[in-house]
Amino acid sequence: MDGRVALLVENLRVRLGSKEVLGGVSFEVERGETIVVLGPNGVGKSTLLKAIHGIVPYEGRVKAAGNTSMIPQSDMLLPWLTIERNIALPLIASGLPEKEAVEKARIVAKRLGLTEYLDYYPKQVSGGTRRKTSIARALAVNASILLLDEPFTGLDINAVMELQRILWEIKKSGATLVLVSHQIAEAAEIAEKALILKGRPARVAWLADLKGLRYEERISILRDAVWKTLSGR
Amino acid sequence: MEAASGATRYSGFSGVAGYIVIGITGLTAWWLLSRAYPLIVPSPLESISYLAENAGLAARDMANTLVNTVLGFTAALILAVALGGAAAFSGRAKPVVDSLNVVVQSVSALVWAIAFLLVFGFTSRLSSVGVAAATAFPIILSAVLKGFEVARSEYGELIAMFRIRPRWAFTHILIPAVVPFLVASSRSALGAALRISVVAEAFGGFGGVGYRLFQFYELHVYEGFLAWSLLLVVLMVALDRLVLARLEGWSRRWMEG
Repeated sequence: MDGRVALLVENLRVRLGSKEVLGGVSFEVERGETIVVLGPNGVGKSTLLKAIHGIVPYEGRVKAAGNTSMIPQSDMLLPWLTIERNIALPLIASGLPEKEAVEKARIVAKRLGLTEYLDYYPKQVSGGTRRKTSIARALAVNASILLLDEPFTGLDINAVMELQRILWEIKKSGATLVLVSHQIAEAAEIAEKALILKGRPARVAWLADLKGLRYEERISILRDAVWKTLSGR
Repeated sequence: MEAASGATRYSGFSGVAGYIVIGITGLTAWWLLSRAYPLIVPSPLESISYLAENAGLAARDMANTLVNTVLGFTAALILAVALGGAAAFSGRAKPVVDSLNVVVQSVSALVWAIAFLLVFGFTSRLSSVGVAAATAFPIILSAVLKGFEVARSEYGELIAMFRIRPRWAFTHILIPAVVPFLVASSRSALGAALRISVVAEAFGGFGGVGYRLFQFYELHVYEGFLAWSLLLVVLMVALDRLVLARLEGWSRRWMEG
C-alpha cells in the first residue's frame, strides 16, 4: 500500500445471512483526508463502516494504516456510568489501569469541551453532549482512522455547528475520517472525497475527488451527483 | 439527580394517604363484620390485643417465615441469574433455559408445596424454603432472560466495536444492564414467595405464620387468626415500600433526566 494511503478498500463484499449487502466496493483514502459516504437508507453505509472496522465478516481487502475507531449512529453510552467513565470505558475494558484510563479520558474530554459534564450521567445532558461523549470515547483509544456513522443526525443546529468544529479539530490533528452522512451541506464542509453507494447489493455508483474546490463548488457537485445518481437521471 | 421511589411516583403525602385510606376502610369493614357476626369475627381491638399479648410468639413466627422466604428467594435469584447468564452467552444453553422458563411458569404453587413436603418432610424448614424458591424462580428467570436480551441488543454492537472481552462485558456491561429488570422482578417475586411460602408452612409442622394461621383456624382462635393475617399484610407492605421500592428506585436512578 502506498505510504500516502491511510485506508484501502478493494472489492469489499459483505453478506448478512442470505442477503448480499455490499457487492464489491472499492476506494482509497489518503492520510488526513475525509471521505463522505452517501446513499439511500438501508443501502449498506453502516455495514461498510462495520466491515472496515472488522466487526462484520467480509470478503475482499481492507487495509488500514493504523487503528480504526468507530462512532456509532446511536451513541451507545452506558446510562449507569458518568460521562467520564463512558469515555474511559474502552480503555478500562482493554486492561489499562483505571487511574490512567480516567486521566486519558479527561484529556480527550477537555479537547472536546466536555470537562464540565464529566460527573453527569448521559440522561442528564443534551443530545449534542452525548454525541460528543461518543466521539470522545472513540478518540480515547488513539485511533488514526475514525469511522463516523451519521454523526449529525438528531442534533439541533447549534450542536451540528459545534460538531463540525470538533471534526475540523480532529482533522487538523492528522486523523483520517470516513463519514457516513445524509447531510450534504455538512459533509461538503470537511470532505475531500465523496462516494455514493447504490443498488442491492450496493456498489460504488459515484466517486469523486473534491480537493482544491471551494465549498460552494463541492456542495454543488455533491448535490448534482446525489440527484443524478439516486434518481437515475 | 433524584431517585425514583418505585415504578409509580407520588408525593410523600399522597403516597402515605393511600395507605391511610385503605387502612381506615379495612378496619371499618372489619369492625362492621365483627358487629354483624360477633361469634366468628372478633373486633380489631380484640385481635390487636391478642397480638400484643403474644408479641413474642408473633415475632418468632414472623422471623421464621421471613427467613424461609428470603432463603428461598436468594436461591432462586442466584439460579436465575446463572441460567440467564448461561443463556445469554451460550447458543446451546439458550433453548434449554427458554424451555425451562416455559415449564416452570406452568407449574402450580400447590404442586410445589406438596412435592417439597413429600421430599423434605413435614417438619423441615426446607419445604417452605423450596416453595418460596420455586415461586420466585420463574418470575425472576423471565425478567433476567428479557433483561439479557435487551442488554445484548442495546450493547452488543458496543461490545464488538471496542472488542471488549466477553467476561469483562458480562460483568461490567450486561449484568449492570440487567439489574433494573432483576430488581423490578424481585419486588414481585419476593411478594409472591412470601404469600405462597405460608401455604407450605400451613401444611407442615415447622412453624411460621402459615403454620400458626392454620393452628388458630383449627383451634377456633379467630382473634389470633386475624391478628397474624394483619401482621403478614403489614410486613409485606413494609418490605415492599421500605426496601424493595427504594431498591428499584436506586437501580433506575441513572434513567432519570
